[in-house]
Amino acid sequence: MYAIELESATLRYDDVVALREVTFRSEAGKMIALIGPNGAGKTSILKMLAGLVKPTSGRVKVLGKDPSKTRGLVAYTPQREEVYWEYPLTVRDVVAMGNIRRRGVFRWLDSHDSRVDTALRLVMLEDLASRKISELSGGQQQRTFLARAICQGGEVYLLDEPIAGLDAPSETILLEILKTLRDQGKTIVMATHDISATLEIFDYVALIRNRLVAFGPPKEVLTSENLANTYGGSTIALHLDDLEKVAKWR
Amino acid sequence: MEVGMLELLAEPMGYEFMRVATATSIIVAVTCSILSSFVVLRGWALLGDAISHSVLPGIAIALALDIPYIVGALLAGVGSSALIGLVESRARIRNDTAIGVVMTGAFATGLILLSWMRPAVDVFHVLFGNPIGVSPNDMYISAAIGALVLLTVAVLLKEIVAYTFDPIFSKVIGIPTTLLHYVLMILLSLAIVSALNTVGIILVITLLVTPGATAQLISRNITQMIGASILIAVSSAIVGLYLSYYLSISSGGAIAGVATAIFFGVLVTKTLMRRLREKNR
Repeated sequence: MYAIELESATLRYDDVVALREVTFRSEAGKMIALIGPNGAGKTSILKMLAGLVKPTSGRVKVLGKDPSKTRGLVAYTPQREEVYWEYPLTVRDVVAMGNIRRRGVFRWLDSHDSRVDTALRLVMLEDLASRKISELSGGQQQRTFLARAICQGGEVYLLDEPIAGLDAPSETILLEILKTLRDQGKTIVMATHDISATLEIFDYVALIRNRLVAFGPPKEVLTSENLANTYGGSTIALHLDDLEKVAKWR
Repeated sequence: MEVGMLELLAEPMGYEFMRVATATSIIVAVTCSILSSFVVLRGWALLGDAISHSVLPGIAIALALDIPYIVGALLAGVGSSALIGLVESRARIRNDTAIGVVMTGAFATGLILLSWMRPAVDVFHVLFGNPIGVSPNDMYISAAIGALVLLTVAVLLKEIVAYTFDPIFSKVIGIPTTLLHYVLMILLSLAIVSALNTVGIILVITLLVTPGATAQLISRNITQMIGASILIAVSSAIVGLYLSYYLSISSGGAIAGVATAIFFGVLVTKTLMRRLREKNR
């Protein structure tokens, strides 16, 4: 059984084709990076895996099931801009939301649950547990989201642009946590528009530009030709620096 | 002879209509302010305004069909929020544009219907409230609505907080978010209906936005915010009614005015305190 599986998945919004015939799959316990420019359909893939949208044609399966039947097993962290960070919640409050299914109806959340503490420790936010989320840095906000997903206890983690706008140290910390989760057998699917050398730690890379340009281990997939096909000739200049980095470890 | 403070406070309460008006205003203030926190945090101020305006044609139609106005108002309120969602997704226009179109359209329909049918209801009172005309019966309806809102929010608090903070996460983890959204729209419509007699449908948005906005300035967590919001709204209702009694001014206007004054008072105090702290550092 594959952890995630897309088979000729096509997604249309009215007359706009967001994704055409995307096919790739991964077994559990892997880290997969979805790479492509903004508007390439990365979020659409995550949303199909999360069961938020259905493919217009083709098939999407998560843990061998239809995504609408995997509630609770899939943890989704949206782009940071999607939520209102001035919401009066502490780090602990947000992480405790991961327990929401477990608590059932008619019971309030317990922010001092042991699962919350375990998750906070794993993302190294114990010291900031009582801090208001509006007072966090971007990297800390992202780790709060990740802790909520860990608290939820999902098997598949879908992360939309978690490293966008993070400084290098924050990015490294975040990716280290993801590696730990992978080593525990979790499947990580992360969307990013940045090509950087850190992508080396991923097991698979999917280059997306409204279709699947290439899929496979990073060393095979991240060729200058594939990248040019993903980002287009005009914007590739912006990524020359990254290309050099990529070339170094090829 | 000088009139004591206590007598000033006690005098209006000698009248039955003032007791009913005060009790109803307090109930309405609590009802609206509980929802106010979520209206503010989810960015629903304009949506709340739209629902309140859309209640007008609902009342007009209910009067024409001789059904309880509360039913018409509720259907119109929930219907308008659904219509806004539909217009937004079908016409692919921005949310605030969809709200603007639906809100003014519904309000115009209400005005046309009321002017055409000329019912025995004073449009001015529907628009701006008339707490001293509240009957004990209206008070019981408001109390029942208030109890329902309070109970629903208490039971669904964790789901409401999760949904208003992060709707995508909430949906993926399995909260029935569409259902929850419409439950909240029904609660909002009910709160607006309960406020019809006291502040009216134009000023009810003050009670749905301002207490929450003020509370957000001073709260660290959501329960604190809801508590502060209730406290601010109830104080506004009481102070507003006394002002309206002694100054002979519109009571809806006075309640909304006090709530607004508290907001700016807190904002200015907070800004000054921050300046002072920075100076002393």
